[in-house]
Amino acid sequence: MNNLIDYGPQVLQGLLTTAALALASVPGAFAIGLCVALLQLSGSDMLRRIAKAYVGIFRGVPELLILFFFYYGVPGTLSYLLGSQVEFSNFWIAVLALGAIAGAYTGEVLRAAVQAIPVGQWEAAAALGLRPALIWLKIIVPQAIRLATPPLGNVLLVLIKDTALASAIGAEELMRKSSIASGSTRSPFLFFGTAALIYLAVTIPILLWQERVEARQAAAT
Amino acid sequence: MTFDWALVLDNLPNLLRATVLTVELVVASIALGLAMGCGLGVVLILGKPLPRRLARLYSLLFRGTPLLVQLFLIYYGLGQLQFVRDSVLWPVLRQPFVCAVLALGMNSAAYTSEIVRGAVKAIPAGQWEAAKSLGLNRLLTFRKVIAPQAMRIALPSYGNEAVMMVKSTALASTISMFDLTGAARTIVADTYAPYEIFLTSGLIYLVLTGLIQAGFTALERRLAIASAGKPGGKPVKAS
Repeated sequence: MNNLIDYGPQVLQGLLTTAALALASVPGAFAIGLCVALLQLSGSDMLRRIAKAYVGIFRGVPELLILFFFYYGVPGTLSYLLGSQVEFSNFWIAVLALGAIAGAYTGEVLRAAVQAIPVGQWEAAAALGLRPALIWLKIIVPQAIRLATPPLGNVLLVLIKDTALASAIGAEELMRKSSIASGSTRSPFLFFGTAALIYLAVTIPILLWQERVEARQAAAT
Repeated sequence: MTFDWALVLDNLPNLLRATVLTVELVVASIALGLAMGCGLGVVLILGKPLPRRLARLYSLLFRGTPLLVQLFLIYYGLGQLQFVRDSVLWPVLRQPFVCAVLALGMNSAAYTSEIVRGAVKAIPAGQWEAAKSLGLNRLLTFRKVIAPQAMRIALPSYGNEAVMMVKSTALASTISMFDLTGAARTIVADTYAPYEIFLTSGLIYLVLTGLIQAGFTALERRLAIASAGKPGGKPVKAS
């Protein structure tokens, strides 16, 4: 128990970094997801194929391998492209990789949500003389948001758990701090157990919310 | 910055050898996850209140924590507990392969139990009632009437779970195993050729996940009941 008190501030700092990792990854993930969904819904075969390939790659390759690839590959590539040495902290590499992965899942959720809206909605809106932009804004998006919310909650849940992988490239988040504390105190069960409880404090509310939504949907049908 | 094909060819045998371990991890973990997951799923549906609550707790705990935490708790954490060290199982529990399969399998069991529960819940209550009126008890109804239908509903979701399993095995590299990711890291550390090695490894993973997806799609097609329409398609409309 004394170990936990000694390393408490470190663990808390790790928790803050974990939270920062997850939060910093969300905007990028959403932007990528939006692009992927729009490309997939676009009329162009080539754009659709590009988006599909992106989703296929980022959902078919282990997250850990993607993190390593970004860790070793991104600074070098950017330095080469920009012609000057670019340095990235582990934190921002992890944010880029996690955002790119969550973006693929977000794209699929958004695409599915838009496609789940009956064609009749488009046709009715067009028949009323609404311009395409207005159809999107007033008819499609409001309904798609409602459909996409529960699965987006799941993407967020996976993102939060995936931040733990950032420890493998040295980002000083909860798992990394727990590993350091475990190593020097020789009490891994204590520290990884604590880390598990901390993750649960964040994830259990999301999981319970999902169950409630699911139950409500089941009752509605 | 050029792509060194010779380097890819040189290291391909090593990467493929490591892929064997990845596949072994996948197969062993799927076996454990499927067995445990189906058991837990049945408890979630048919169990008495207390076992049902425990199965629900299990599912929440494993779905709510990163797999990496579970893996580290089993691989590093168990050794801290004296009664584990004293037990006859300790020589087995010290092996990274066993720990990885335990973590992957137990994690997958949580998701599998939810898939089973969801699939069974999707079957209309009328099926249970009809079987009951025919004099079948709950267990027999489950086995003969519900399970065969639920299995078909669960198949696509379980296919996704199997793909996740392939990806999750990469975490075994964090407990010093030479699976595909572990081997790729070591080779990159030696050659400093991240593009060639990681892209090749990524491609091998894509082949593995693609094969699994194709396998499940084929299985769905085989098991599809003619009157139920095409798998994943819309039900046949009566005109």
